[in-house]
Amino acid sequence: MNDLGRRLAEGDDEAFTEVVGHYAKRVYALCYRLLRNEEEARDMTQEVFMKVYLKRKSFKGCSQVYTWIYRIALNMCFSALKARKAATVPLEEVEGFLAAADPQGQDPAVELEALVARALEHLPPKQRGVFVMRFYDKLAFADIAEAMGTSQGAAKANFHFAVERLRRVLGEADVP
Amino acid sequence: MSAYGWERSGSKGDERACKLWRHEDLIDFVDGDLAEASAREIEHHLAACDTCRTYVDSLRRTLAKAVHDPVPEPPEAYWACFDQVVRHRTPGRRAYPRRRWLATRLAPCLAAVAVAVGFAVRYLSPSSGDRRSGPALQPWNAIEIGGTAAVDSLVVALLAEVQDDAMASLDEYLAEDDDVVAIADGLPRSAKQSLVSRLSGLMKLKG
Repeated sequence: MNDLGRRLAEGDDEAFTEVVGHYAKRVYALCYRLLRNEEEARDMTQEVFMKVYLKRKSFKGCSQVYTWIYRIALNMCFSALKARKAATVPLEEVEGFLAAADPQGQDPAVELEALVARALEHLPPKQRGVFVMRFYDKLAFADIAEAMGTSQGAAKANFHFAVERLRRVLGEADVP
Repeated sequence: MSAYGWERSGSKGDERACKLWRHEDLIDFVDGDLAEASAREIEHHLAACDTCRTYVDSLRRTLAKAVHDPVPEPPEAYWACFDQVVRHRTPGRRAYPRRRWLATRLAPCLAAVAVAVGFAVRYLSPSSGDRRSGPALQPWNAIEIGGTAAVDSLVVALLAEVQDDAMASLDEYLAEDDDVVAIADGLPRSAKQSLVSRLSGLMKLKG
């Protein structure tokens, strides 16, 4: 267990403040990319750190502090998504929606961001979680697997599925 | 020869024509998560295989687009008092440890206020007789403690302060206490609305 993890597990309040300083913004970005809603992401980030604060003494140091926090964040976001009943829209529908979108008269940058957001939003939660951690957070698959509570093979498989789904939507989309 | 050989079956439903490399390997190649030897092998292969080159180009275009997913930045106040708000919202924690002694006096104070207001409403109001058939007016209805932990604890802290200042103006207190203002600013919109509504209830009770 590293020094920060040890102090956190001992209930050191300054260690908690350091953890917040190091990881709160990353957790917020993760929550936002999973929930795709700014206000929900802000609430969720606070709730994640409330849980971290409450459970900090149970941190055993078997994992790194951030993978432990990510695991909490992922579980909470997945529960929220489940509660929201965010059923995955079939890829064909997404492709149909994207094909129907009128590209005329829009700022190309804004259009591209909307397209990416929409494509990510329609990834199943686990694929989205793995893709976000790998692509945006640059986490190693070992850490992603630890955060997801799964094997590296399963994490990589989710990443492959996510990239392939995104490729079918974004790779061919006619956006600069 | 590939690491997997010609016999490997492909993923169902894809459009591959090259049996030498799986799409998963090409994704790992673009992701940079492939052993050096395999990566070199794929690079050589791409020079000769249109199918794989097209697929890899498509992957690169996809990931180049996926970069464009900005995360909206929360208001400055959100981060400024994030740590404080988290501790405040955490059950069993008070954000104002220096005022803890006030909390021990809060219950009897509130009980006294409740009894006094209840008495006044029931016996001093000229129209009290008309209310017999409806629900009795309770001061708790105005305060409405029992919502989110963040708002509750903030309201409780404010009540403690107000009690201690012999029911001084809550508005003045809110305006002067930077901590409270900062925390209120950092609360999510829904919690803030709830706080405002509860404080309004409190002001009505006081009035």
